[in-house]
Amino acid sequence: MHRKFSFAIVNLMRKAIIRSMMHKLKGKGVDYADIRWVKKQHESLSVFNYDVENISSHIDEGYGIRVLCDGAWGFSCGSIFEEGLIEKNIALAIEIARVSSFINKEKVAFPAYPAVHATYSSAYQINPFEVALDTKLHYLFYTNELLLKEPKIKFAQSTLDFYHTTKFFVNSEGSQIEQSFIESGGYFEAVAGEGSNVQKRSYPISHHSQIRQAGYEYIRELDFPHHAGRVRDEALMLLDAPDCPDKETTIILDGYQMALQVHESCGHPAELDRVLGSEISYAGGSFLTLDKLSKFRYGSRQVNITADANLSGGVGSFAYDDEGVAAQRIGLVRQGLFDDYLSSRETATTLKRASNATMRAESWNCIPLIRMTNINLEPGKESLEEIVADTKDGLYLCTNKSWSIDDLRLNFQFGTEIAWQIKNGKLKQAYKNPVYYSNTPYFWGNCSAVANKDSWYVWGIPSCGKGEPSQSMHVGHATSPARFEKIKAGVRR
Amino acid sequence: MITAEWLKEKLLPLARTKEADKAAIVFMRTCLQVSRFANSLIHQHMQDEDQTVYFRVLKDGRIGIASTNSIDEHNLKEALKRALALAHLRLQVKEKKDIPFFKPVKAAAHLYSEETASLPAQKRAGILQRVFSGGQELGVKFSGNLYNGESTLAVISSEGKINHHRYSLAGMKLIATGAGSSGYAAQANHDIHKLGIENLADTAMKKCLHGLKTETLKPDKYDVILEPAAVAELIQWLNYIGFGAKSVLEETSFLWKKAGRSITGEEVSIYDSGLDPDTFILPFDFEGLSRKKVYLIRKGAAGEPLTDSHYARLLKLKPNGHASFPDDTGGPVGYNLVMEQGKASYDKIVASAKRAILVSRFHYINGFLDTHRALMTGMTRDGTFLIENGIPKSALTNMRFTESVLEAFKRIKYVSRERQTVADHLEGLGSACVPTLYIRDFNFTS
Repeated sequence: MHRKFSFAIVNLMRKAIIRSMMHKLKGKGVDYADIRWVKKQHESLSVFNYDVENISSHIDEGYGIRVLCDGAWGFSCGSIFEEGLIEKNIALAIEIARVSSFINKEKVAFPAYPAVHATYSSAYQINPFEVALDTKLHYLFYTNELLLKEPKIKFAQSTLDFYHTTKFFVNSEGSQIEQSFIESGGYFEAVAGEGSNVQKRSYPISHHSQIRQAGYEYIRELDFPHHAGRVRDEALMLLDAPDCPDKETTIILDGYQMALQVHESCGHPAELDRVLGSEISYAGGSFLTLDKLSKFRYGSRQVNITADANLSGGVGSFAYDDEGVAAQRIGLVRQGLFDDYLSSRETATTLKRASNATMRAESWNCIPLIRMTNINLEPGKESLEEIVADTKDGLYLCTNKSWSIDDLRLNFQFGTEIAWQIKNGKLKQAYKNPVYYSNTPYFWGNCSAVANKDSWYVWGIPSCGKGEPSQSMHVGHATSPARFEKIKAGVRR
Repeated sequence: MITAEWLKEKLLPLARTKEADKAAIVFMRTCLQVSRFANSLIHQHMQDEDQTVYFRVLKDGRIGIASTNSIDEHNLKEALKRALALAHLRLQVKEKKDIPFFKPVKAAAHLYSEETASLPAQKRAGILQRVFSGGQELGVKFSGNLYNGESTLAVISSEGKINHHRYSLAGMKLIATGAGSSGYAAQANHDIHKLGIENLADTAMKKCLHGLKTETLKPDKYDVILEPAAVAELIQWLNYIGFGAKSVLEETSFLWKKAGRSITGEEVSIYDSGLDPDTFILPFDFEGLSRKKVYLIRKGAAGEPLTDSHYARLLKLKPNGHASFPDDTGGPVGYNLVMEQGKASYDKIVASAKRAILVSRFHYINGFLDTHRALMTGMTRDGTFLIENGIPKSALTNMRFTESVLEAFKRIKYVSRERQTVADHLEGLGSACVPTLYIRDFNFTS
């Protein structure tokens, strides 16, 4: 009780400091300013080959000051809440903006927005930070035990991650927004090996934790032990599986691979800052140039892609973005036609539209950027079983293994952990080392079916990179499996 | 400013906690000032200053890790408490862990320039104004970044030892764009005056202007000239998938069971050395151990992997000082990678090409396709040219390669005498010093 009370006092004091900082900023003649105080807590647990690999707990806290002066931006930040240092950082942000203004030949257009006073907390049932570490570790050890039952499983890893982020945002327009997010997730993998033949299977996703805005109840829902046996057996089976044949064929991608496909070939190119060239030096540009808006056939009529920052459980959900604009659900692709970008207050002026609220910063010391919220492939009408039954000859590709796409987001190549042969509407043998490669508009143009709501799932990716200095963002994708015709697939070369 | 005295006064007493068998503290602080620009306008302009204090505590063979970015005494003590609580959990332990003893290493004072560490926004803007003006005359616009700042790394042991390293850093990345073409140049140094900004601007602009006439080649095998930025990306992926001891233990590394055996051509020698002056020197690792020079590939033969104290024990090797961040589950990695130089000059390499593709840099390489062969895929970007009879004939539209880097390294025709230090402090720690390579029959797939 005493501990909770002291946290509450610190929080009240921090908020008072942030309000006072904004008051000072407004007196300095800035065009616009916002301040974000962010506190992040991350707990990570990992068991590797039946041994604890990592138990760590991280807390990170500070404030970021963004100012617009004379039509140019400046940003400064700090983690020490001392008056003298805060004053210094306010002066620095203003100085940086004025320097930019002096050499920039164009001024930033930044339309005013109404002030907002709001408080928001993401939903959860069980606070994961209040669940005993013993309980979490037992879950991971038991998963490892199940995976390691077969000697050909060379290593097994099981991991849990929990995040708690609180944000307090104020701006010179009078907004005061407090938001709190709890996220939980995990994954496990089994690696089977015989000499240089090494095959991996993962659940529910590969390379990192699958996360949701949820509490510990989501870890129970993931039910690692229930899936461990299948994952282990599939890894073993792949050791003896033939290589995926090289051919142009029909492919069905599972839900997670679809999430990656949407992420790389729709989410990123629809970011308006990329389109306008802001990310040329790092992430790249976009093939979705301004002339394509509302005219370009991005995919077949089956393809409906939305950006939904209100999606329940999605890690790209929030009430307000880091510019104080309310979360929205927008259509990016409607029946295959490209219809909107992800935008900010500044970039939306290029389109003579209002921001659709996608500005987010990884933490207090980062500038907000246009980021994917939850970019979703809307479900179709048929079930996955019906789509498979309707496929004469093809491949069902599951669980991402490798990914690569060019800087304009056109030429891509993905690999998955496993491919299942489809013959006359039935899943047959497994293939190892599958890849598929294509070009974005051709690929989406050949989408012949999207599975229905029964297999629609909210995926959460914790590591979307963008910006310089680089920022890693949590983004969501709700997808179901989908089918594509005449796609080049085959084995790695 | 965080000094060795501050570390001794504030953090050493915490490292000497009586509630653990051993403890160590890792302190990392970075101050960056970044002018980021696009279309010759500064659009993201910032100062970022932060630190992380990691506590690693050992109890009965178990390690607990906690960190905070606060240097407030109360918050530091709270973080230590959290680490202790994690280490005190009653868990079954298969392999007992340890925190190694380390000896202090000599600090390198010459790597710090006060002017570079604290160069103000106005000075950076002045530099950029000159670069932008130069481009304007030729119809070229610039995107990229110019940054400066400083970094401090320290490791403090419960025995009272402190390793402390402070250095200044600066870098510039330029993408010159115009009429659908782009050209790349980048450089990093401890001293902002040694970035050679005029040369960088010239290189980026020349590449951009050479790219105005573009043709497309069909996917096939072509000889390639890979410039240092492209070579560094391949070697960083080798580092990621195979140089570290964890990947050897997991049997996924191309070094696994290959020690002393040929895995590339004899022209290839790659090592990691924390004290190599052609990289951003990091004299000790995150366990405080001296970063030793380790040959990963020597004259084409597989060397030993990079280890920390834990993986060295598991592989029955000696630790060679390559521990990563305390909570990094990826295992040891190299932060100072060097590929040894060859004899040919860059100009001779280009002049020797009857028909070859010159690659300035790659984009979005992925090396998870087959880690035993180091099979990777990726795209070319920002300056891909067809060289015929030693002369650039035209620019090429970007192409995808899918290639085993080990097999490609068996087909090296030339390694350049000149090398470049490739580092990007806005992306992360680590640097590589690499030459230009001429490789025969590089596999482009789409």
